[in-house]
Amino acid sequence: MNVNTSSQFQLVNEKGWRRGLGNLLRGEYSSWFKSSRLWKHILIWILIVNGMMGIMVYAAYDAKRNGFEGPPLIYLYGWFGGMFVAFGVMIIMQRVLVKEKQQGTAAWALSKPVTRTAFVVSRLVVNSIAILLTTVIVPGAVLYLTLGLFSDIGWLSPFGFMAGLLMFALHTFYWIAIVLMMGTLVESSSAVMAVPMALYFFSGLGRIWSPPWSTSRRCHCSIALPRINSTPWPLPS
Amino acid sequence: MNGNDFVIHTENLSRSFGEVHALKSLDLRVPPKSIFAFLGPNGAGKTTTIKLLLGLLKPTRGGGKILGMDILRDSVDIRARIGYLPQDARFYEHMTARQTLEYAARFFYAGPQSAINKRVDEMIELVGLEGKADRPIKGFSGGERQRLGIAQAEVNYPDLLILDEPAASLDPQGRRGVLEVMSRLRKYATVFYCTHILDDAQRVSDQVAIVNQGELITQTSIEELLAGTGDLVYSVSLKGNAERAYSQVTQQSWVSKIEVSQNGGGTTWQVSVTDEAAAEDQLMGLLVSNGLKVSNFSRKEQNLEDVFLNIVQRSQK
Repeated sequence: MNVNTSSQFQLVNEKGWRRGLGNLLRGEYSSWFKSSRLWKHILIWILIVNGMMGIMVYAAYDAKRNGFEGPPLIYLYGWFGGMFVAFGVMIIMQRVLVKEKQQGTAAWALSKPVTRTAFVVSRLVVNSIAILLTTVIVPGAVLYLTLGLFSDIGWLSPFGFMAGLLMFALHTFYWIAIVLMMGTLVESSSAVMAVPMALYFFSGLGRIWSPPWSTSRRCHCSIALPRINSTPWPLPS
Repeated sequence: MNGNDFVIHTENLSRSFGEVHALKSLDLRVPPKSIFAFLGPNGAGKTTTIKLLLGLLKPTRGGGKILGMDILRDSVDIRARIGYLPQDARFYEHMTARQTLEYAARFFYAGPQSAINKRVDEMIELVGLEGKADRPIKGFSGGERQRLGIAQAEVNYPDLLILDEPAASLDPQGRRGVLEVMSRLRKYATVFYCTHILDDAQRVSDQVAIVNQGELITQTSIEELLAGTGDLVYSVSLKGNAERAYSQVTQQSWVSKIEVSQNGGGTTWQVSVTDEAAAEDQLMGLLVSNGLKVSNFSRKEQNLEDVFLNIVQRSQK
């Protein structure tokens, strides 16, 4: 550094692949947590996930009043929430690297003393925390309160519910990681979206279309059903 | 000077994108504390060169050193000692100018906060963004973004500043400001910059390299480039029948070419000569002796634009 550099500065002391990681994390954190972005996302996901579940709670109540079997609420939460969140993650995450590459902010950040690994890790860590918070943790907590206060299901075992949310979180993280990985490989948003979407649909179709002699299909049912039955909370009847 | 004495020193630096050879065997030598203009038409390979120097692209062949460090092996260490302004600088829109400068500074300095704040204030003052430092970048004009770009490039006291079209989106006043900042920074750092604005390059640069179609055409000091372009050119404006004078002048051994243009009832000649003394002694006499009225007789100053266009056109033949 030239003669102007004053000894008053403490130099950044990160080594190896972590060069620049701390500052990159700080910058990405500020884009979520020091702006209105986090609150907008929380609001949107509460409206989508909990709004849908609110309708289902009302439908269950209405069905029971008329002597019918109501919708299986927890199962529906997993099915709808999982699908909406997976697509939401694809939409949010496809912008993370591709938009930065297109706009030139990635090139700018990478012109500083940072490694490419640190750049990608910072995006993975902060976006995972923010997306899990906005799409899984907060809507999950609101659902827990909704079921406890407004449904016949009542207060579920908190540990069991948290275990369920953990599965959701893993499922969501899977999509975050796969979309981010696509963002490192290609330059176009549509390509980043297309591969995970194809993966989502074909994995679903694979289950539906699996031949009758396939053990995996029977396996899904035989494993899934006892697990649903053995949940620590009462299933809706 | 040996290789390590140059701030930038490349050897056979090449980059291809499939069948397209964006850069072919570039041998660049940038001396310390110089303002080095890297010129070339669009698509000549200027931005590719900068990306290779910064480690944002990997060369297909060849390599180089910046500040004595290898551009492939020591890329991160190199970036710790340079400042970079990208073409069409873009920053995170949710940040203010002050936050952007602090963010840029924190890639280099862990603290203390007071020293970082002081440096950020200095940079804001350097580029004249005092009134807008706390506004989000989203609302900045192109010129303001460019000035912020220069400030963030200088925030770490770099030994080398790499500027990609620093004055491209600025108005004349903004351009002058950028050139002043570049001149001021010469004391502390080497400035390597690409530009299309040849007038600016002529005004502030000491060294020039011209690249075309991925190949280095020339690299020299600006004085040598302007002086060593071959013929001198005299511009003469004439009135009267110039046919006889034309044939006499073209027969002189020291005249290499005459370009004729008609304007407002008169004729203007651009006379290229190989011998300045002979031209000074004889050209005016030849014209007057043929009964022509000479309303203007001047030596045409070569500027960088003429030289650049000549060199680029010759390299394309």
